[in-house]
Amino acid sequence: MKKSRLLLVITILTYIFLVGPMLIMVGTSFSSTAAVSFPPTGFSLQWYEKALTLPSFQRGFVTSLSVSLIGTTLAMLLGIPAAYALNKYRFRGKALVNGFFLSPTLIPSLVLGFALLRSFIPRIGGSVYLGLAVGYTLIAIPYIIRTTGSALSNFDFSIEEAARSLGTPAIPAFFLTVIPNIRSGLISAFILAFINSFNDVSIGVFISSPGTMTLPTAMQSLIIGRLDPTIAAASVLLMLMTILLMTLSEKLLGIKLKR
Amino acid sequence: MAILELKNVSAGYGRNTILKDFCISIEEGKLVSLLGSSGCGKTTTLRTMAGFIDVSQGQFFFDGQDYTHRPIHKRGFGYVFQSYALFPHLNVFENVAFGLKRQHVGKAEIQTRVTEMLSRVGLAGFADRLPADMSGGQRQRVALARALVLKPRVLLMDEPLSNLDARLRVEMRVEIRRLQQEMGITAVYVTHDQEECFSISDQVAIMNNGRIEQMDTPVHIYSHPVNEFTARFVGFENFVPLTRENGRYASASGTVFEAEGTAPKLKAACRPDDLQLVPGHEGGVMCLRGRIVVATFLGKQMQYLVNTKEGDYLVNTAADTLYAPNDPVTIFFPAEKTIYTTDEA
Repeated sequence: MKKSRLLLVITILTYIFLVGPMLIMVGTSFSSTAAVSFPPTGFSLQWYEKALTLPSFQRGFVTSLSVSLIGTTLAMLLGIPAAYALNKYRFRGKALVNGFFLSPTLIPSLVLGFALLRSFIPRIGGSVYLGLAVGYTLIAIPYIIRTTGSALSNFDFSIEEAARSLGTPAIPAFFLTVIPNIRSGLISAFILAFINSFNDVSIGVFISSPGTMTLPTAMQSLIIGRLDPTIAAASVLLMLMTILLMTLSEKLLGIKLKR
Repeated sequence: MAILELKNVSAGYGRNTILKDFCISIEEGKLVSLLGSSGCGKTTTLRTMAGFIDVSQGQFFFDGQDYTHRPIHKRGFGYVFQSYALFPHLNVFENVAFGLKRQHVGKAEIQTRVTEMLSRVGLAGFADRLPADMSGGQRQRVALARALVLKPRVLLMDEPLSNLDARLRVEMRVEIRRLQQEMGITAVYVTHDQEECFSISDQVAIMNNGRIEQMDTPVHIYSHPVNEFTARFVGFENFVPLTRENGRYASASGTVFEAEGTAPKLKAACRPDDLQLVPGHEGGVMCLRGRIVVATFLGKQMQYLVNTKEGDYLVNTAADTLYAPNDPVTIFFPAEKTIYTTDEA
């Protein structure tokens, strides 16, 4: 009994530690004064209005959305075939290839962002937009490979062979048997990688220009300039979007998101 | 005429070559089993015929045409997997209709052919089930129906019954044999179960180390195994090494065996059931003297382990024949039940 009471206390403290800052942020976002304070004074939705109408946020949202989508899609196109080959075939140097594909998780994305800024952007004519898309492709690939790989590890490749023996060429057989059976793994890979890219700060902070910056970067530059509850309101909106994406995919598609 | 023929084929996985210079020829309409322990190359042979494994050397012919490098989907062979390999996301009807859809067969015809095939394998009324909701036996019936609905001329089966329980195995193998004969299909059947393959095959190929040790009718292999390996596979034990001296074959202790031939060395062998045991130490041709080591009660029979100068031998006798350990006995090898092998397998 004593042990379980201690456990309960620790659990509650952990929850406060995790959820507390979010509650403060939510509270602050409804404040009626410009000072970031908790408990909030008064109630208003003005900071939400501001967050939604601020041009740098609007542009940042569109940029973040599009580069994350492009990056994640490219990562899917590269990662799915890689995961397929890694799961299906035995070949020399497989462990090495596997390690290579997962290596972006080992490199801090701050370093990746800096490296892209110094070595890649100048070579592609300084396109910030393309740089961001490539950066997000790189950080998404390990997610895609790992999630797709774990879905494929439960897949019996003789199912694909069965389709082949029933008169289906290789590529249609892949789409008719492999894809439908790892569908939920693929969707969860996509959503996880997308959220990860969308919320990324460390790459976006290096790769930005006055015209093109990601939403988190736009938010960061706002905080540096002047701190008011707009940032809290934007954060709440972002959080809602993430929660909505996760719940929708779980409810509509029956997918358990796991890392 | 041979419908399937592997000619001097080498094949394997990557650098691991399992079949080397391998030949087999299978006649139309026959059910041929490839029998052997794991790693003997039987599944590799089957997968090579299906096209799942690339041939690095040699040729594969189907009905006189060179199929060596023909893509899997253009071979038109049915394939039944050990794991059933049903499409988990499709129901029974859609599973069976899969191949027909790829051939762009009309909807009405698909409906008739699938329904007919399902009732043929005893699954009428199961069309809407998902594979996950069916038993192993039912799943393998779906797998059979899925392959047979395309009316293939060749059906390749990779240990199709090994995931089923013993009673269902017997039922299903009769079913497979019936369908194969009704539809006049040439079938190649891979198994490691001796009884299973002898009961349904027209011919059995016993494989070892990527080679065929013997290929013949089950009856012939059962009574005339060509070497020690196949002999052991069909229940022969009690091998007695013989050397040729003065035109006769004799064991190390001097017992003469009535073997014919010219090979310098032979081995006599007999099944434990066929050896005869007599009390005391008798002399004579094809007799070995020894003592009882262990007596085991088998129910219908007694089994004795007898130690002789040539080694230990197993003899099964009637249950009422009783010996105690250390009793002197003589083992008699009946001439008509004794075989002679030449190799050192």
